[in-house]
Amino acid sequence: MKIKTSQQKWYAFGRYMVPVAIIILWEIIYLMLGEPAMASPWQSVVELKENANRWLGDMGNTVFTLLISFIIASISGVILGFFIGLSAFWTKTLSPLLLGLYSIPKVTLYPIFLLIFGLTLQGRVAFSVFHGIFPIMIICMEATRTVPDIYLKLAKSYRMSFMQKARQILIPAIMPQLVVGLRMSFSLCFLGLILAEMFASYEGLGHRLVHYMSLNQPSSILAIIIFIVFIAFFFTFLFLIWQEKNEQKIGKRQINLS
Amino acid sequence: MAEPLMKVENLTKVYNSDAKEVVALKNIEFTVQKGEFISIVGPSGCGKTTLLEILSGLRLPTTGSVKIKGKAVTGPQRSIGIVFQEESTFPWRTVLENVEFGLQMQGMPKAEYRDKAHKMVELVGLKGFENSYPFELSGGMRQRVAIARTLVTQPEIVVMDEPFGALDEQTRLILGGELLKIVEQTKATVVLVTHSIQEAALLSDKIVVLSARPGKVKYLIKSTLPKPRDATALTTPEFAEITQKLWSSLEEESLTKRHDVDNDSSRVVGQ
Repeated sequence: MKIKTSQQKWYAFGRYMVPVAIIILWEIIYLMLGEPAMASPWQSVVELKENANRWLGDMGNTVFTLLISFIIASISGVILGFFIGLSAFWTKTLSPLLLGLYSIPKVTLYPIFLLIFGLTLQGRVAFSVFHGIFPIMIICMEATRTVPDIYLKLAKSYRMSFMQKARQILIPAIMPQLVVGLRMSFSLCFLGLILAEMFASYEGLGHRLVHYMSLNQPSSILAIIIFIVFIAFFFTFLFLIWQEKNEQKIGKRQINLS
Repeated sequence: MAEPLMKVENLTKVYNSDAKEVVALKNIEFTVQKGEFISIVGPSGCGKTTLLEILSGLRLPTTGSVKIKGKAVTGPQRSIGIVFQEESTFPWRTVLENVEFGLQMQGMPKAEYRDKAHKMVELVGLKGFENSYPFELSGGMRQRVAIARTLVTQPEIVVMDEPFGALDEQTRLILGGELLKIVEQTKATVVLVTHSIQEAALLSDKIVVLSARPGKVKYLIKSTLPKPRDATALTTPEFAEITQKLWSSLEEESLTKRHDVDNDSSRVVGQ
């Protein structure tokens, strides 16, 4: 049985209080700005309830595209980062380049994606992958590069094959950092996708958002934002649970999600 | 006399860096009999760890050879187990899973390796900690896990690189005593590299004293300490005699080394 310390209780309390504070702040802004510039939290929730069925298609579309993008970004990012990290030469050669690419405001490159892919699902996936692939690749590369030498010596002393070494030593050793990288990659894939949907798409939550912006319907805009925040929180929470499980094993700091 | 289990013959190791040759080890020769406990001591920088890596097949000598039962060691092999100085337990595996690791890599069936690992965990005094993760253990306990992981594969010879180097002297001697008991029970042959004179004197049947770089065998001291030994041996005259011999030989080497360093620096200053 888990026994919560008073400090942990305070953490949990703080975590619940933040959304409450945000809602209060939201209400205050609404009272200050008034309609039609702003909608109240209650109006937005009512709007969400009334239109939820109509928006479910967009939500499904966004989540589906997001998962495809994330799978592509994470698998290719992990594989590339892992193999680059194994070689000192490639790490030294490519890491400044990757860090440079990572720091580019990627939205500036959107016209190029638009020219290549047009208003297609592939275009949105490509832009989303372009956002998410760099953090996971860089983190995976660094984690692999810094696997302690002693583990590699040990692998050599047990005459392990590359596959054995990768499965039994390298992957478990980089796992804690890998999960953090996957979480970051997911967030950035989501960002890239919403941007792509906002700029050039006929479907998805990003498209809905822009649509209601042009109609100047703040209650609908905020209701869509609630949808987006829900998706972001749901998946981030799953990643945090995974991260905590990994970190508990190796005795690193605990997030105490429970 | 029976054929030695390990024979080190005329072993030399030269490193080449920036067109400069560094002779780390020169003409090292000694033998290890089955069941013997040998320690290698020497001033820091004399090539102890290099020698250990060559003995275990992780590095190759420039000239000379290491033979086990007459067969040259050309790489890591199952007959040689290694315990490293650094923290080497896997933090993502429990104590039991860490101990099982070597057997698992040998392709042993799970039921068999689990049983062997349980017995070994008990032998190293970690019963009750099977499901603990390394971060929950002390440094000494973690090193016992590493020793258990090596011994459970029953290698012909166990090579240890200052396994208790990171621990305080008191824990080091207690664990050393425990190691002797484990070695007696498993009938393992051990080559231990250490810089602790007391540890070498307490544990060894034979002590190889290396000179300052390039490392050469300066003395070979045979222990007269009766067996079985434990911490009470620390107060015997035999123990005092061995530590005295070791101390004087190492002091001599350290002074030689210092003299060389002083001469080098005076040359630099004089230029």
